[in-house]
Amino acid sequence: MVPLAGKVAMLSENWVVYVSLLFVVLNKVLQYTSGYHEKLSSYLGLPNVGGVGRKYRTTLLEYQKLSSVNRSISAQDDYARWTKNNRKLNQLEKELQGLKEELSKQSARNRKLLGKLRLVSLTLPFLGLKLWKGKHVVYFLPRAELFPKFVSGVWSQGWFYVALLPLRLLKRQSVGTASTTEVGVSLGIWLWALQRVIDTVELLIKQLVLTPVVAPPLSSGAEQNVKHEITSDRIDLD
Amino acid sequence: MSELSDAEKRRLLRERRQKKFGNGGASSRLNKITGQVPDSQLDTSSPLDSPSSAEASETPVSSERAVGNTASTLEMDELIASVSKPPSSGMPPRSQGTRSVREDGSKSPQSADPQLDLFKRLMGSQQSDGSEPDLMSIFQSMNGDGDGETPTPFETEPVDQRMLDYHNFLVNRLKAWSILLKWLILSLYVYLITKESASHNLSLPQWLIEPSSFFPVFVGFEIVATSIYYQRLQSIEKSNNVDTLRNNSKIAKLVSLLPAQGHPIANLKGKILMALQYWDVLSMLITDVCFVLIAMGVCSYL
Repeated sequence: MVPLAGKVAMLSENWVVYVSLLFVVLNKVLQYTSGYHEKLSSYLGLPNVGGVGRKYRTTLLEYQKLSSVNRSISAQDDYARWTKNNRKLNQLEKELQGLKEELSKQSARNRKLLGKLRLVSLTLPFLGLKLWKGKHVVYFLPRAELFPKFVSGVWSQGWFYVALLPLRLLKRQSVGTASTTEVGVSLGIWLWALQRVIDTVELLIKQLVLTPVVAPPLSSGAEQNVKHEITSDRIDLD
Repeated sequence: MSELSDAEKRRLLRERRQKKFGNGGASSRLNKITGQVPDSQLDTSSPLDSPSSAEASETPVSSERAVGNTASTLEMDELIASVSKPPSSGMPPRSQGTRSVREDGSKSPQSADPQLDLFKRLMGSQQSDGSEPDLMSIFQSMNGDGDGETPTPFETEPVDQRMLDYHNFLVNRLKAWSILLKWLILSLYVYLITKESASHNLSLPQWLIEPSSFFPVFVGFEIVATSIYYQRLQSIEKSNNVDTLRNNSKIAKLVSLLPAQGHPIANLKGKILMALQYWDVLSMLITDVCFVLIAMGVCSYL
């Protein structure tokens, strides 16, 4: 059983686990919704894109109106008006093209900006938390002797333990953990295991639920054996 | 000036031709006939130009040389005849006398061309087996057959995309089911190990539910499960005639571009492919260890 002191220590620093879980969930949500980010940023209406977008919409509306007007009049009967409109249409077309290019440029700039924002607000803080509280024990294993001592050492002290193992051996220290009564799972190891399990669950859902069944292809021999012949003399009339 | 007889005319003409060929005119004549431009990549050097063909025999007697020259003139005539023939007529015929000169000579003109030598050797080895040489075996030999080198992509037949899609579907589904079944069994086992009361109710053998025996049992289970998985995978590969690793792994595809020889590590391709196989097994083991760790955490809170 987990000692009481250990449980108390765990509860007092549970915020680390909650914040880490929040980061994991946010990362996954962003991963799942990556297809909608472009749409979302256009709805959000960032100032640079918003201005250009409004201008584009107005110009497009004007173009459509003018185009419908020009279609309604005869080029021969109302030649002067039709030509004037046509000239304006050409001008608007050029303007729309320019605005479109500007819009795509601004969107790319925003995408870059959002990427940087994600790096600063999500990736770097998560990495910092892992480095800062990497050795924080998330939970203790039910039994200390479940894994070999070396593996238990990695669970409780993280991958750094593997790097320091040669030094330990040189100093003739034990390979095992400091405590033989309880083995804790550190935050870094827990997050690594959790992300791996989540990824595998995704794979299982994708392969067993979402992927459609692929039919076996017909072999060349079978394809050749398919007979294309008329088996009925019935004729359907239209 | 007296009239020359026909025989004398022919002799004079032959002598003139021999003199011309002796001064390297054979290649230029051949080029002229075959229409080769001077910067062509095709080899049109005539064996008549190389001194070894004429000097193949050790005896430097003038009469012998004259015989050699006559032979080379005959060779030239045959060569011209073969060139003027349509390509369907096959290989140009060679005079037995010239062939014997080449085979007997210490350094024949053919030995300068390693590809021809290689094909000749291959033909010889295949004929000694009593079987016809096929293209695959020639490629195999060219890529270092017999030195333990792994087969190159030339050996594997290109896989039909529909078959590859079907194969990948089967393999992915096999992987998914094997992971799911393994996780079901492991979660049950972890629950029994962590909850003493549950294991006592089921009256399982003591060695199985002892915490110290968890890791050996887990590793043994992994070995058995991975063996079953690979057995199934191999049967799928055999039935579909598709190599999963070679057709799907980007690293394996890049490795297949490496030349068979010319790098310091022997059998590099085979070693990399073997490492990829081992990594696949190790990756599955690591995934299961991660699952066990998370399952133990869940069980500790239950």
